[in-house]
Amino acid sequence: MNLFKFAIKNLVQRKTRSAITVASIGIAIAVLFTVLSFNQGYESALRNQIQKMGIHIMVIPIGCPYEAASLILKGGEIPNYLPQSVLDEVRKMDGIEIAAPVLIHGIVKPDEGRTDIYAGIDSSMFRLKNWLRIDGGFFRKDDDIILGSDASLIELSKTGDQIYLPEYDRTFDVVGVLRPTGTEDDGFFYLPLATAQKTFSREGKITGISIRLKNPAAAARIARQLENIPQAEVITMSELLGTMLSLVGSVKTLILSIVIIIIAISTFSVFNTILMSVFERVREIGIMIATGANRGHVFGLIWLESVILSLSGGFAGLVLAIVASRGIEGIVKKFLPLAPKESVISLRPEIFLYTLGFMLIVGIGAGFYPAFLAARHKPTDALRGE
Amino acid sequence: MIWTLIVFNSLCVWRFPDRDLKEIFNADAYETKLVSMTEEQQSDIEKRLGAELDPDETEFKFFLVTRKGEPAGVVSTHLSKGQYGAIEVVVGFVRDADEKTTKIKAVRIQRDREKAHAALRGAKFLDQFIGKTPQDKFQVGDDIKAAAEGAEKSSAAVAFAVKKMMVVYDVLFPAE
Repeated sequence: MNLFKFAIKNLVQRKTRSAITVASIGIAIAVLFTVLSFNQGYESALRNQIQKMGIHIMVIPIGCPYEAASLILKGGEIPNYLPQSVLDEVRKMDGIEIAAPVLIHGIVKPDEGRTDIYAGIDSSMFRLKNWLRIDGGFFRKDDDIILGSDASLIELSKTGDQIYLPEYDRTFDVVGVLRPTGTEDDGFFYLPLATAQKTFSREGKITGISIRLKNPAAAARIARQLENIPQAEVITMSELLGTMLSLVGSVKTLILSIVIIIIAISTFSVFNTILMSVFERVREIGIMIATGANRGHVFGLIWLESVILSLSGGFAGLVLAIVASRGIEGIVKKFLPLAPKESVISLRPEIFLYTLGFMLIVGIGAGFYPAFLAARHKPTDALRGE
Repeated sequence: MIWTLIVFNSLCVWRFPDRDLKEIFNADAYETKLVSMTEEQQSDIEKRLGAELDPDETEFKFFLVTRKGEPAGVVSTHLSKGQYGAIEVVVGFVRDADEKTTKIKAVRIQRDREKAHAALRGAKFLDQFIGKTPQDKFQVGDDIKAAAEGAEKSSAAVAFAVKKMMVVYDVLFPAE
């Protein structure tokens, strides 16, 4: 029987203890793998989403800029407004390719358990977000409305139908429905900017301006110029991305610290399991040595048992993480400051290999002392044990 | 005109179960039952409705209500196309043990954006459905009066949704 089969047999003989050790390592590894996968996935998904927006700078009312920018991107309503004159100033500046205003207005319906989000826009928004496709057409008159794909589904409405706003006693003709984008745009009701301002009594006011630059490298310089506009707060998308990532980074550091503690406990669990088995097998090890096994064989056997135990736990944890990743993702997204629609957990092969490599080191480390102790046994120890 | 009466069971959530359970059945518990239909049952439902089901409608959701552990009735919800957007209808019904038929206990509108919003949700319109069975016509202008003048289309959408769920339940859970 070779050393590997012998090690497996020894572990199987103590199956309850081995299973508990594998389970404890498995849970720790599942959490570690998910945290590492989340870190990579979230950053890349957030970067993609922000790049996909084609927006380099946002001008918003003075207040907490990151909260406001996040709310505008997610379609939330912020209580402050910019005067529309700011839009004219921005459009006159050099280096601006598109400046698209938006007025966001939410109608909260507590008795229906939902909120409708209306966005007042002009044609510049569709030039800015040039990936948007409409089934139907753009606004031709004041009382036209375009529905996001989800809004269309929720209202069972399509081009040619009418939508009534009971809160404002206004009827709109549906002139277009956006094709699904996988972003918050899908849930919006779009109105002509002037119509939205008049309907919601926000004449001359806008919630923000999304800007695309002719040269994205000039973002910092143009942002400084924009900051001279009174009442306006300026945020570049790279700043927003950095803030979002640093917010998540703090949470990630905390979680990683907890994971390291869990893994340390799991390592001691492996150490304890192997050490206990060495103490219990004094006679067996003594007989092995008496019948010709050298100390290297004994050391290798015990060490191998530790490595097998750790790697089994590692594999179990990875399987658990992969199976549960979608569920974990759903929970994690609820708590993110700006949750991208695409997947935030990236199951990459290199993370898989890092995790298994880490467990190999744990197995080697945890098994060293018990293996060393076992290799020092003498045949007479077995007789003394009798 | 059938296209204006499209209703979906699967798309509609039950928004206020606690409130509806108390008001309709004075109950506080329910169990969700998802039922698939056979081709034969589909054909029967479509024949009785005089309209085809949507191709996506392969299963239906019913909420079986209990009061102190005893069956108290059934609730079903529907998303229906109104004149100015969607209308979400909640239907509560009971099976009459003696007459072996299903009777409506209450109808509620949980979401709409109709111009006749108040009339559509009012007792004058909704109470007309109480006591009706799957065998009734549910025809606006016949056994159902429109909620208001000019609200015939939305009234018909509600009436059709209610009839449809009564018929579907009757076919999927035939009286013994």
